Amino acid sequence: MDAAFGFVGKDYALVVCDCAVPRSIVVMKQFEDKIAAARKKRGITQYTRKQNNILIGKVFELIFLIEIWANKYRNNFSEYIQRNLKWYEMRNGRKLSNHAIAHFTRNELATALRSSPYMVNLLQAGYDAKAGPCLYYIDYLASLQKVDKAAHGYCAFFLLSLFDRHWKKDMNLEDGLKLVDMCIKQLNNRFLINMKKFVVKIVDKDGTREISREAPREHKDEDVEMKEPENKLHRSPSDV
Amino acid sequence: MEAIQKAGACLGIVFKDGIIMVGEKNIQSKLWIPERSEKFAKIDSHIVLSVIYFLRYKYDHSKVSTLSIKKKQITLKVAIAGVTSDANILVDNAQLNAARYKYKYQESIPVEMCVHDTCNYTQSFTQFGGLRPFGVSMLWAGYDTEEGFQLFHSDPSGNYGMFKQIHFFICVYIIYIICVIYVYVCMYVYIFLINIRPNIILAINNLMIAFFFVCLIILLDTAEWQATAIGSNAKSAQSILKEDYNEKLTKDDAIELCIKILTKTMDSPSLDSEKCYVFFFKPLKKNLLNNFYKI
Repeated sequence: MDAAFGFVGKDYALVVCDCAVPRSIVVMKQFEDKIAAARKKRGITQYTRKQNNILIGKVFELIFLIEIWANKYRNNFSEYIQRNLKWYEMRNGRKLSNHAIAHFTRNELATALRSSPYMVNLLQAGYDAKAGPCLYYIDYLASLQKVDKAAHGYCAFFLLSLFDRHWKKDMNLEDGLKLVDMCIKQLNNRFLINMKKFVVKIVDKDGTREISREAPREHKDEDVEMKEPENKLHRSPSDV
Repeated sequence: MEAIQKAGACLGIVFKDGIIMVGEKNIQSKLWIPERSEKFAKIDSHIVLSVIYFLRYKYDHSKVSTLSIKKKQITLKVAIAGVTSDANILVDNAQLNAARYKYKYQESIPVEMCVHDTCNYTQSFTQFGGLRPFGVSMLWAGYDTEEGFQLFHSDPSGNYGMFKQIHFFICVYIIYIICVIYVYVCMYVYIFLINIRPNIILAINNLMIAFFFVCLIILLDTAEWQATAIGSNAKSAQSILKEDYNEKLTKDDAIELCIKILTKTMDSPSLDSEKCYVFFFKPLKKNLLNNFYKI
């Protein structure tokens, strides 16, 4: 029942994930951050030597979102990737682009698939100084796709249609966060089990930021999509 | 290292729009039809080629050495056979590394990394007994998005270097020394002859330091060339490069310069299209195009 989704806006990419760790019918933990930074340090500036000998600062940062099927896979796999990237940086004195990281991750999943598969679905959001923001969708069968908007798990059933309607190219951050709120609201409306807390991570040219979002307490009929039927068949989240 | 100096020259120049490399062609006989260039090899679509060479590794007790004392023609044949095979191994190794990197990351290998890997491989042959090192020195021309056009030189011992201007550092150092001497002379003159207060001297000192940094910045902006030569008469080729190279070279100028230098390094006085390879390396929009053509 994990919910994870993300999209690309104007000069930023963001990913959202719920914070609950459920097991069977029980919620074990409410505040689990399932989004891992592929690079631990925030907002690292990388200097590259250009031909005219002028140092040009370049921000190269990304977030890495891993959705779980089982907690152990998530921690294990995200650390595995993090350490590998770090090793690469130490060995070669340069950083991998987001494109390369996505393909590296996919390669690792594909290699493990036939022997001891990692049960992880992931979204990778990142920002390259040259290529701009990007979002990669990878699932546990090691399929990789570069996308503008993506959702994993059951939440994809509802959110993809929402994205089709409301996501626009080059959205600014304000509109993007509105869309995130809309999505969270939708999830709270549609799912049997409510997700109370969400974490939003944004990556742009300045590095990464984190915003946490609570599920709205009050249910309002603002959006056409979420208009309730005249006769209330289901209970709103506020009644729970 | 000495042996390498004896093979036909190769030289490379980096200029604004690409890299030019030229190499001397060995022609043993008129009946021999070269199937492919033995000097240039393509590693990947972006690192083009490493250029190779050199032969005539001398051993005290090997058969090669005895042959090399004999007629020049014969030694060359033997040497080429021996060394082209060394070069092929290294080229294969580099191609394999490049392809593996591409498989893993879906990205072209950074030029320096490719050179580094191959040099590590080469180095291992210098470390253990019973192994013969590769008798190959190479020039690598490549392009990547981070660093632009690059020219590397690697030798049998596993050292490699990226080619930048050498006399640039000397210039900076000279300016620095001039500044320092000037400051000391000023201090001497002012204190002992004119008797001015020391804080004025300090101000002058600061001015001098500022002057130094201005010079440095100017140098950094203007001084930038990348070119080198390997093979026979490489040193004289390098000294000509030092004089004639400037950063505003166009493609035609660069080719002309290369040919001019190559002529001077060759034993035979005449140079024609039969005797040299010219290689031009440039980016084409997103991908890179490389052309082999003869002139």
